[in-house]
Amino acid sequence: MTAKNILVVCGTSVATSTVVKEALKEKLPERGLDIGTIAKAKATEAPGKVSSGNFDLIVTTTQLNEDKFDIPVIHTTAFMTGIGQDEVLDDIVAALEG
Amino acid sequence: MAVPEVFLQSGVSSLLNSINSVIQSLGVSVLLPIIIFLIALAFRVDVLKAARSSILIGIGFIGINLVIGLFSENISPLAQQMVEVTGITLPAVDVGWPAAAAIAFGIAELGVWMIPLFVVMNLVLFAIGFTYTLNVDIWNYWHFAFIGGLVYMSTNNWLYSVAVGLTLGLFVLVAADWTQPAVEETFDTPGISIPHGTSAPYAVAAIPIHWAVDKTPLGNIEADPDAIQDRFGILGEPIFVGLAIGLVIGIAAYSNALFVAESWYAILTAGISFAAVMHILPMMVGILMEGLTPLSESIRNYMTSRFEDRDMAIGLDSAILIGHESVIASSLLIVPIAIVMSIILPGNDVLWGIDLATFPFFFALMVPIMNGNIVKMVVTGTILLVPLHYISSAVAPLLTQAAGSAGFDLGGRGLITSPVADAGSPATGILALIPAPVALAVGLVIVLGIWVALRMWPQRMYMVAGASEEKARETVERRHTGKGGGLLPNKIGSTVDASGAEGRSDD
Repeated sequence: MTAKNILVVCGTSVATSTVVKEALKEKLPERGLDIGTIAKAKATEAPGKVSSGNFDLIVTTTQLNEDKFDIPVIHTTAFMTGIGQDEVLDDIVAALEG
Repeated sequence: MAVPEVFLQSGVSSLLNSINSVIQSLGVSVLLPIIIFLIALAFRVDVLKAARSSILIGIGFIGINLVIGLFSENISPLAQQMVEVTGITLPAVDVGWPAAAAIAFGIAELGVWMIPLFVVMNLVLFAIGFTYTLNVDIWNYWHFAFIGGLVYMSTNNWLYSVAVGLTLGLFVLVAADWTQPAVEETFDTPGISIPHGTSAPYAVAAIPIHWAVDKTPLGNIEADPDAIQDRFGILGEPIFVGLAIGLVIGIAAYSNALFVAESWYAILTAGISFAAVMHILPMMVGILMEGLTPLSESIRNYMTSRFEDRDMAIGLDSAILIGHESVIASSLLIVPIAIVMSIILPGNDVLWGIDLATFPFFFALMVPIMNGNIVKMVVTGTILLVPLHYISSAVAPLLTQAAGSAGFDLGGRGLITSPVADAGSPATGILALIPAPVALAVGLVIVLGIWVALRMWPQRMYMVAGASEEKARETVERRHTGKGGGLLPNKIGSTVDASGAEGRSDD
């Protein structure tokens, strides 16, 4: 299986996306996934970054118009609240393996 | 044998003096990691993780200082030249929220100490039933440190400064409870509230302004946010905004020599430098944030594990609301308005810069209040821009002084400000510009007034913040009927407040 690249999106690409990125970096390898780069982006930059074709999945902490993307989009605040992280990680693994 | 008192006193004061001089010579990039390390250990972060975090925070500060250096070398002289050539006097350069946050946390006497102080206050307030929010978004505690830091610069009184900082903390908790049903409904964020130091004061101030705007013909116009976002999409990215602002300042500075090639080298360099600052500064702040993440996880577990069986809202950053299309569209539309206003408003000192990209935080909590109508959002926002310019102009000397205290090198050139977050916020106007004891009293009266109104007329209050009648009633049933978990009552007065509204809906 090739390494998967993930784009983490939030309002600023500073605060909540950093929390998500750190969590994914720690927890996805524990589930046996091969992770390439995890990049951060602002909501306004997401379409531009995704159009490069380098990303396999978007994990966003804010609403995005999913129709604008041809890769799966997972919207979650679980990594900030600490509630429901395992379920979201399951979804992410499923989306990347599927 | 008793030590003579005079020796004891001189011993203590010389000890304090030498501690002070060590603090002075260490500088923020060393001192802050040490403080964060200690706070992290107190919240039981693993030692190695705490060490890694602390080092990252030091690195973040050094990185931010580098970028601010780039800014003050390239942009500030141009701004001064612009004043000389055009006569437009805008001495307070907007360095934006990333710098403001770093300055706020970097004030050694106050900055990150707000983290444990706020955590304790929030836990107590939750325990007694004053608030339903546990604000685990420790990154955004910088707003409390910011306002406290400004007060510290003007009063040099630590207790006042902490009290003022915590008053803003109190306000955002109450505002988070107030707006929570509306936020949950509009943004589909169950169990989450937004205790945000930038978004909450603007949204609360927007309520009466919007009420008035709604009475005018402007209240009936609709515009499609998606079309605006598509049209301006990429141009709304910070690097394009930065390039444009840099070029405009450059052209203004060289407007007396536009036919000289050398002028254009400088103008183009200004454009790229400004774009660079807009792009790189948030990355540096991201390093600070990465350093704070393990501490933030520990504090979250520390806070939430204490009250597992209680109804609670987890307080998060309004960054999670900002993808909403009406937020992005309004934030694009208001940029040219802000620039024009900064030139025509008499007595304004603000030269717009990095905070032009911060308007999403300004608008985030206005979405439910105005049903995402971008015409109303932009009109209300434009009215709020008037006090914003004057407050952020008036605060600039204090913020500049705070930047020096936090160890940032501005090269002695001019003033800085961060108009949207939070130098121009109504909360800053009240808490930092009014003399401290009065500011505290005014702040507390506003906060407690909202709190009492929320407990007396919760349904109406939730609807004022933008919740539908159904959502408001559902929240009242869940939250304001029966006995709560704390000491304070969930409801003051009769159990139903909006009986008139209910009667009408039954017809």
